[in-house]
Amino acid sequence: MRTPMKNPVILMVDDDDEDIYLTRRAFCESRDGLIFRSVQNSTALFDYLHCRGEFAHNSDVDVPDVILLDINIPKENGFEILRKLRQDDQFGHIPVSMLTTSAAQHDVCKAYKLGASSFICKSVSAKGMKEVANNFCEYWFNFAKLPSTN
Amino acid sequence: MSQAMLNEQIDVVDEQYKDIVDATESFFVRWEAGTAKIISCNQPFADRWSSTVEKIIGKSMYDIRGEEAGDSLRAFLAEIKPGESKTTVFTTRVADGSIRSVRAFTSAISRDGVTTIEYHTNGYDCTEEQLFRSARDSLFTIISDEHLCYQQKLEHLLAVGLEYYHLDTAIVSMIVGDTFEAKCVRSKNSNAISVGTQMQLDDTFCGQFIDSESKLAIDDVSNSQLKNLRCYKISEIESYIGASIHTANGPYGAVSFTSSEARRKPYSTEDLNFLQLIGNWIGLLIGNQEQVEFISHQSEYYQSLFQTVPAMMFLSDADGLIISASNRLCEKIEVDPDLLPGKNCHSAFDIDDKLGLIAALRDGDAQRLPLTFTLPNASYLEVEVNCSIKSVGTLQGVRMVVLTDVSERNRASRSVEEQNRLLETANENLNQFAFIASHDLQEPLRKIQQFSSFLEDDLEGSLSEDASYHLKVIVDASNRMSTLIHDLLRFSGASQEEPQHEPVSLNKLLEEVISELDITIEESEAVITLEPLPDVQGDKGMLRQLFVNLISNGIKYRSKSRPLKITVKGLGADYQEGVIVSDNGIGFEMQFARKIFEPFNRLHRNKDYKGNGIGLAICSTVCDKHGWRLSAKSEPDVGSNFLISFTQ
Repeated sequence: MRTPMKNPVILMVDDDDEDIYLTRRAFCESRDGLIFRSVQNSTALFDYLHCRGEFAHNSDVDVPDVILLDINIPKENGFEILRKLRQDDQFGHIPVSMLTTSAAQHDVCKAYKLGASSFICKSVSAKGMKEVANNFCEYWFNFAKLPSTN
Repeated sequence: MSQAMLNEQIDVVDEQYKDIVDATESFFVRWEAGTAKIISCNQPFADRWSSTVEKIIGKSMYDIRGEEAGDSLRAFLAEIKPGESKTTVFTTRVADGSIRSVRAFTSAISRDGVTTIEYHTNGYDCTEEQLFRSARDSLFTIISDEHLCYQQKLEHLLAVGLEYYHLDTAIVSMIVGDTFEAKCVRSKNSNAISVGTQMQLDDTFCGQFIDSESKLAIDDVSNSQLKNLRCYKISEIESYIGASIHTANGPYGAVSFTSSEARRKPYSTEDLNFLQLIGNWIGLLIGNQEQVEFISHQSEYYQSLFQTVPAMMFLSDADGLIISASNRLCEKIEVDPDLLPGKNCHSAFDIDDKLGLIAALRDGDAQRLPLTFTLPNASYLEVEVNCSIKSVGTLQGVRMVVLTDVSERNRASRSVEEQNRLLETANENLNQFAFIASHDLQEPLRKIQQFSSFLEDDLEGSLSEDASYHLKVIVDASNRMSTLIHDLLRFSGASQEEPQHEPVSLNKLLEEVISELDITIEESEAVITLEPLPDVQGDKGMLRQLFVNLISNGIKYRSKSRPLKITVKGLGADYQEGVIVSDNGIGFEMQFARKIFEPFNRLHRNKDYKGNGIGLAICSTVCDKHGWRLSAKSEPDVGSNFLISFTQ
């Protein structure tokens, strides 16, 4: 057990506003000091990471400690984003956890094969979301070692 | 014997000889070879040269003859070697200018075999004989002439008779009872009776002999026994020769040759012989014709029978040449019946499989060969062709072809096929729709579930009991909807999926299923018995679903009054016939035995037994996909048996 991170950064990649809203709520309630960012698609993600495009005005980027990635994103889906992410020199090391509705085995396998660090199913209940948030934060920000970017 | 005695004897013989010779109608002449002087002859010979015996004797044969005849005589005599004889028939003009035929027998007399001393000739006028022969040959030629029809032959025969007898009218009559009917008339008179004329038999010459003598020949009626008879009075017949005619079928009638002038001489034996002959030939000809007509009528009868049969038929030869076609066929294919016979099927019928039909006709053997006619109005007639070989009359190897109209049947069948296809397409579309719809419905439903849940969480403690209840109902309902959509997805997805084909051990599969349902089995305190099960070919995933559903059902619908027992076992020899899943649960009434397999059809309220009614529908689909049959038997409050049958 190491020292809990003070201000971990989570970046959620999901096209669904409500999902982002509920997930942000659950995670922020679960962890004080958590910085929760979100983008809606592939372009936005890489623009955010590289401070370009709509994020060009950012002086500095809050590099995420973990990325929550949905599968069902239109145009480029989660798998494609994952693949691209893993090939990124700068940010390819960041742990990516799939957070998605589908629990199909073949999606799970595929995700891990493409380099996902974990796979979590979205819950329909408030209780369920909270549980996910608590366990997630506990594991990733209290327990596991994360690659340092600084 | 002295020479004188010898001479005397020769003279006696000569005299005797002469007497014999004189007594015959034959002519006789004897002449010297060298001088051609006539030594002796008889009166008939002299008559030929309109002379007497005394005047002719001593004259040369060449003198009495004349130049041209002399040359031919010389040539003729040259051909006869000494001691030999020759017969000849020649024609000659006699004193009254008429041409006669003569048959002569000439001998060249020689004592030493080297030199001819004298010639003997005897002969007779064979004109009548020749005429007879000639007429007889004509009759035969006419009868056997293939180019003449019956009527022509009959008329030609009568013509020969008329010429032979030198009369002017010939009639062939049919005699039935008392009625005489002229069937064929040949006459030089313009007022001879016409064909078809009927008379009372008694009024005719025929009537006088038909029953008894079978023939009658009167050269001059006015001087005969018949002169007072009615038949003579009403006719203009002065000379008559006629005979009865018989055919193979019996008496027919008579043939008569008559003249309005009396004949100069009586009818001879030859004349009567000829009458017999011509009567026979006519009888034969008529008899033949009767046969031909009979057969023709028969064939006409059968022809008309064939024409009018209420079926589509035709007769053809092995090469497809149409012999005859039924009216019905012609109607149906809209072809003029007169145009078919003599045409080949190839050109006569507008069909889709000409080669097939021709081949079938050649084989002479076809059953239900499908064929489609294109009709003049561009519509189609679909038929099936049956062909067999028959003998028709004298024709061998005739193909009898029967066509059956299958347009309706085909139409109906195609209609059914079409309906089925539409149904299948509709089903597929429906399944696809259900799949997509459920998929798309999931998303908003998830939102409802999530946010109602969060709302509950947010408002915990601050809601009134009623409000709390209201919210709970919303949450429950959305959860149920979620399950429903999930099941719908599974069901329509299952219908879409193609099953895998791999070997599956049902024994192993059932053990896995039981292990999967571990918790529920424990909760329900069910005892599950597995008896030996077969290995099958199929989709493992689908089959797992099948047995999970069946066993879950068994658990779900258990009786409260007794411990649940579920048995799964294989059926038949080597368990290859099927599998049965039986329980001792609440059962159901047999009237619902089919209904329970229909999707969303439930026999209970959701409150009493949870579920959406999809489970058995999915089981049914899985079985269908494997070619198996799923059925159920049950008795309320006793239990249920679900039978998966591998063989239909």
